[in-house]
Amino acid sequence: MNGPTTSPARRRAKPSIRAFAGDRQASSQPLGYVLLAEDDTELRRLVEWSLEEEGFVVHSAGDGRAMLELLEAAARDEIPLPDVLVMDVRMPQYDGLDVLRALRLSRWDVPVVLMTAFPDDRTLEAAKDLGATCTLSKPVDMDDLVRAVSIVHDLARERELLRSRVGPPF
Amino acid sequence: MLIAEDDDELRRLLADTLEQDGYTVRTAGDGRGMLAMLSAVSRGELPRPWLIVMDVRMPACGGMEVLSALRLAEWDVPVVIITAFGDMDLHRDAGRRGATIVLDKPFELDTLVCVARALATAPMLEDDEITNSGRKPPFGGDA
Repeated sequence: MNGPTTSPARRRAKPSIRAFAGDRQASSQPLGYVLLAEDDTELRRLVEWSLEEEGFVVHSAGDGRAMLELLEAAARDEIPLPDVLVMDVRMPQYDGLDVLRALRLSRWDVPVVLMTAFPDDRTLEAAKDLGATCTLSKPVDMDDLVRAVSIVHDLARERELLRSRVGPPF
Repeated sequence: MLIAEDDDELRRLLADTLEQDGYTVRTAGDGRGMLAMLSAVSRGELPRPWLIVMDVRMPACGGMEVLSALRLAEWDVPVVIITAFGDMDLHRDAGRRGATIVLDKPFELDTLVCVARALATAPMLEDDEITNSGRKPPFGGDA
């Protein structure tokens, strides 16, 4: 992931895009379920608040281990299955890439948005190989994050629809 | 995936970026070229695309016309429309014609990569790949 087009500073969602897969009608139904893992309490609260403002229901964890516990709770139907995961890369206990690796090992293809203050090539390459949908560099603009999560959420629904009709893309 | 963009430089940039992310890309310089590729797909000469990226304004035939043709033919492949003229009317029109997403130019290439990854299947791992990665898996495959 070298070169000017993929440098860390450019790994940000862009505002001027519009997806059509999502239903943005006013409704009491949540837009979707997000699991968040971030060890910085202040940033965690800010992300929670921003996503909840948009209409997502957010369950959050302060480290990778707590995120795995949330995922296990979701697998046991104790909390709703997440539509999108948002994770910091560097966290105590298991980091975001460990959790992502565990997800893929479990054949769970929920879309994942990563945030990192250290967007070096090695991290970005690992994130890509494990199927992270996008990696946002910190400091993360909350508008960018909400847009990224919304688009990833909408497109994941589109992906599911497609699979149900024509099978998975090759 | 298939890309139609009449700006040579941008077309190369889009193709390079997506190829760098691991996708196989074929390109056309206008809508007619895209229709020719789609004909080749229906004849089985090209693999079926799982994503199509098209500019709106192109010589011969624009992206919106190709999009309509695709949907008329009941091809539900996701279509990303890219445009430098993305007013609300165009966004609405694209949505009505069945576009998956509209990206207004200039957009960051990473946004397109993000869209492609969001629509692609996530790579799944096997146990031995985890072991080979040298990191202990936090939990097994039963979650």
